[in-house]
Amino acid sequence: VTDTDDVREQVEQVEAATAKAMEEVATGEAFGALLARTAENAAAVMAFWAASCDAVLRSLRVAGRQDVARLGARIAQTDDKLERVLEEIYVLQGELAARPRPPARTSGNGPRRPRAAKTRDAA
Amino acid sequence: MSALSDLIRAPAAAVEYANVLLTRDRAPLAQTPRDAIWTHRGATLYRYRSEQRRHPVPILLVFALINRPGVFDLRPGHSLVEFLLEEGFDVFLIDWGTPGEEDAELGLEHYVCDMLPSSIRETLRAAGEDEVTLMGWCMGGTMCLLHAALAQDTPVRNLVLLTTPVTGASSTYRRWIVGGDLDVDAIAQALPVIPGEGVDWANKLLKPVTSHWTTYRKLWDDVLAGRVQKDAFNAMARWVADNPPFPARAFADWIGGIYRDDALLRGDLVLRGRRVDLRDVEQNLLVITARQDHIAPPEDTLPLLDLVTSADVTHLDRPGGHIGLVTGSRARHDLWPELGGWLAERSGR
Repeated sequence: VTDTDDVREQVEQVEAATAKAMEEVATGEAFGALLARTAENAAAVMAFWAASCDAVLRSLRVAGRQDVARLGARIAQTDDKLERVLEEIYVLQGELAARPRPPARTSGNGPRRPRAAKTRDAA
Repeated sequence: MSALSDLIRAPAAAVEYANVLLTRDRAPLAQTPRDAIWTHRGATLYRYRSEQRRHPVPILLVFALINRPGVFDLRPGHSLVEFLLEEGFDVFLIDWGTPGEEDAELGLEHYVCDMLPSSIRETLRAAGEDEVTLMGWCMGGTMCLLHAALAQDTPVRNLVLLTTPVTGASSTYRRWIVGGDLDVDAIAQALPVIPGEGVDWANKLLKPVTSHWTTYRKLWDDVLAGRVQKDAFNAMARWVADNPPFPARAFADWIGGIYRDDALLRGDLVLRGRRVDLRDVEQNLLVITARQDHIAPPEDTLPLLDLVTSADVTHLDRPGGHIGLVTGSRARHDLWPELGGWLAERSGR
C-alpha cells in the first residue's frame, strides 16, 4: 500500500461521509421547503421574463412566443383532426373487409362480349 | 501505483479527461437501424429492422416523459433493443419527441388515452398481429399500467414494468412536495412547459455528491489508471444530460396526482372522466424493481402486486439503480435473459 493509496482511501471515506450527510439534508422537510420556494420563484421569474420579452416583441410588431405557441397549437389541432380521420378510415376499412362480397353478375347468356371499339369512317 | 508515476501521468490524463468530457455530446446513441412508421404531434413510432423475427407478439417500448427513450438502445453491445431483436422479437418504440409550448395543455390523459392506443394500433397494423406486449420504464411503465387499467378491450397481452412507481410514498420527491408544500399547480400555470434542465436539477439533488462529484472523480481515477471506457461513459452522460421539456399539465397530473395526492393507489385518479382502478389490470404481468433505486424505490412499486387481478404475475427484484439495473454491465448476463425468457413463453400464438 503506497502513500497515494492511503490518500485515495481517505478521500473516498470523506466523500462517502459527505454524500451520506448531503442525502440526509436533501430528504429533510426544511430542504424540501427551500426547494419548493426556489422552484416557485424560478417559475415566476421565468414567466415574468417570457411575458416581458413577449411585450417587447409585440410592441415591435413581431410575433412573440405566445403567438408562435398559438400557431403551433393550431397546427397540432389539425394534426389531431387528421389522426381522427385516419382512425375513421381504419374503421371503414375494417367494415369493408368484413362485408360479404356481392356475387359476380351472371345475368344474360354467358359472359359479356366486349363492346366493339368505335371506329371513324375515314371516308 | 506510486505518487511519482501518478504525477508523471497526470498531464496526459488531464488531456484525456478533458477530451472525454468535451466530446460527450458527440457520443452515438440509439444506433440500431429502425424505421419511423407513424408520427403524431411530435411523437414518432419506430419499428426496428430485423430479419429474425420468431415471436409473433410484438413488443412496444414506452419510456417516460423525462429523458429520452434512447436508453433502451444505449450503444452497440449494451442495448436492450439489440438483445430483444437477437432473441427474435419484433420491437417497436414510441418516442414522445420534444414537447413545445403548444403542448402545454396536454395532460397525462393525452398520453394514456390517445397516444398509447394509437401507438398500439399502428404497432399491430405494422406487425400484422392481434396482440402486443407493452414494456414501460419508469413513468412510461405507469402510463402503460394506466392504459391497461382503463382500456378494457385493449389488445395488450403482456405488461412489463421496469422500475415503475405507482405511488410516491417512499420517495424523497414526496417529502419535497408535501413537506415543502410545493405549489405544483402554480408552477404548471406559470410555465407552459417545465424545462428539462429543471427536472434534471431536481433529480440530481437526490444524490448531490454522487451526481456532481463522485461521477467525475471516478472518471478521473479511471483515466489515470488507463481503464476509462470513453464510449460507455459518454453514452450514459449524453443520455442523462438530454432532458426534453415536460408539458405543464402532464407535470401537474404526474407530480400532483401520483406523488402529492397518491391518487393512483387511493383509486382517485380520473382520466377522461373514468376512474383508474388497478384491479382492472388482467394482463400477464412482469414487474422488475431495483434494490438501490432512489428514483422509484421498490416500496413505491410493490403495492401494485396486491391490487392487480392478473393471474400470471412475476416479480424480479435485482441489485442495481433506477437506470443501471437495465443498462448496467451485469444486465446482459443477468436480467435480460430472464426478461427474454419470460417474454418468449408468453409471445406465441
